Amino acid sequence: MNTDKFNYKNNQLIAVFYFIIGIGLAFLAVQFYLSSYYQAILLPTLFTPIFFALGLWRWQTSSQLKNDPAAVLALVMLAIFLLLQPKVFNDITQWHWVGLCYPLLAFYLLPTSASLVFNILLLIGWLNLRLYNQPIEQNIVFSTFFLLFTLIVWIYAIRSKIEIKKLEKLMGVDKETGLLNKYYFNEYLNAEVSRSRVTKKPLSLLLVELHQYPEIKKELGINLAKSFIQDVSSVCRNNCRIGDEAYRYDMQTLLILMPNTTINGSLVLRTRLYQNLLQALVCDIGPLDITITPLELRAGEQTVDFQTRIANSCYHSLSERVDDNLSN
Amino acid sequence: MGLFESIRTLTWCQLLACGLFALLFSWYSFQGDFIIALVYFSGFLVMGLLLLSDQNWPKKSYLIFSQVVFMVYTLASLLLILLAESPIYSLHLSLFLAYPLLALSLLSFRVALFFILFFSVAVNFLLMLQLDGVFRAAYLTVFWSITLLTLLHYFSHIAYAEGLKKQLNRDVKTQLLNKNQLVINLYKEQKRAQRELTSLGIIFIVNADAFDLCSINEIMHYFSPYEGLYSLSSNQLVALIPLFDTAELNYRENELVKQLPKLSFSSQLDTEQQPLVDYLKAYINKLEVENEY
Repeated sequence: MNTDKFNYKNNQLIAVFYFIIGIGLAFLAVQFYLSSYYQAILLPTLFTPIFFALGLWRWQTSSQLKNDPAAVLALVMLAIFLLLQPKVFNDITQWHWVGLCYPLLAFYLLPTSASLVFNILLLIGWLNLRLYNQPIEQNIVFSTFFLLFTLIVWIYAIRSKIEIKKLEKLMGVDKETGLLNKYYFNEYLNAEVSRSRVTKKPLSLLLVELHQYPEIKKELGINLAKSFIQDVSSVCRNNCRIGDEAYRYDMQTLLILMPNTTINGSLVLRTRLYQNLLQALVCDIGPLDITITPLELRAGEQTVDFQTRIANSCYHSLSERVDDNLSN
Repeated sequence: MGLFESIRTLTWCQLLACGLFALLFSWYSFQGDFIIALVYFSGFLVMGLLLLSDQNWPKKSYLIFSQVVFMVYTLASLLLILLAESPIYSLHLSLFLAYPLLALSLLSFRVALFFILFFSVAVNFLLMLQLDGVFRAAYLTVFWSITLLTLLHYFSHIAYAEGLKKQLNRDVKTQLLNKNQLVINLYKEQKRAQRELTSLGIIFIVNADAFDLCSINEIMHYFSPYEGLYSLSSNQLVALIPLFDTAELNYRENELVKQLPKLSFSSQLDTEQQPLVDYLKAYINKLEVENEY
């Protein structure tokens, strides 16, 4: 299962979850209406359409932000409901236990540290609005249960995240382009530098910087930006000779490592690659703006120095480097 | 990963959870509620085991020990519902809702699923006997929906993790490139050797036991950075050796036998009569068949 497919399924799962909450609230609102308990009807009636709208929104699109705005809104609404809704069941004297579900929902909907903030705010609100007339000893014990449960959920969430991150880190392939990633490149560069030293053959590379990529991503959206970089990577891959390898160096830079190639050879390949890119690509926001920088391993140069030189040769990070130098 | 999602934060959270379990255990022991105290003590043990799970424990004994501890936690939780004279619903629910999370964190998937199903059904029966009316319906609905949601979340997580594992080009344990990447790289190296008119060979390295990170680091010292080391199975590695002819490859193999006497080595050179790609593919297939049996 790739990341896109997983995100799509996950979004659908979350959308279904919003629909279920919406149906539950609608059911409550109808029940209050039929039993003429009008004091309690406001919040369920108000939140039902919002939850349905959130469900539709998540079903159709996915959030690109770290903290999903739909999840934030859903958690705020659930917190308001738990804190301000009048008592639902007359039989229940200690009905605050329902609030214990909140940490779980928070971490499923918003698996970041923001959910921890929501939980702590809910506990504070709970102690001030719901449990203010309870003995202090009971409140301390309840807060300990709540904090312990929140910690257990958080431990579970962090463990799952760390496991996935470990696996993603071990993946040598970039998710968007299918090219080998920077982690893999650094390892291979070391091997190629060592091989070049043993065989006394040259080693060079081409840095392909796509200056319009951030702008396309910002103005035309992630899908078009992804399609653009996939087209560029496909041209780069087709331009590789036997022994050459293409990598995704950073967000907007691709790299072709060319063993047994001098700087003159890489200049020829650079011209060929540039012509191929001009022919194959159509950029929606203006004429194609690409820089291709050839670099060659110098005699006696160490891998770390070569890596630094590659990083310093990127034009798009020039302003950051100048700022760093000025501040130093 | 952010500051709040690092391994260090995880360790601190686990320590804090251990502390809270211990605190509640002490509080209820002091109050004379020994069953609740027992639940929190077993919870403390479960969290302690989670905290120590990254240490180099013998796998089998850790599995058995974690199952025994979790069984104690399960029985203590059920005893609490069975014998409690005046139930504290917030305490009970905090234990019920945390149960699947602790099971899935500590135990292997199948064992955890068995424990969760057993516990959920038992809790359901006990609560049906103890509670009544709308409260019973609300309580059980919340309990079951949250348990199912937890399992659903875990299923989607495990499906994604399995998908990633299938796409990996590295072995998770040894961090070396795996056999899929070996075949891809071997093909590339073969083409490159033909273009540059050089030779290409491989050296098989076999150990009686599974390789660990220490032994792999030791072996890597005997190879140059451009001689890739790949993991074929837990006790078999392959080194891809470019630029060597038959005599040099045999010499290299003999040197390795002298320097690493505990391991066994064999080498193979890429020839037209026996191309390495075909040889390795056949070897990998044979290994997979052996592993299946």
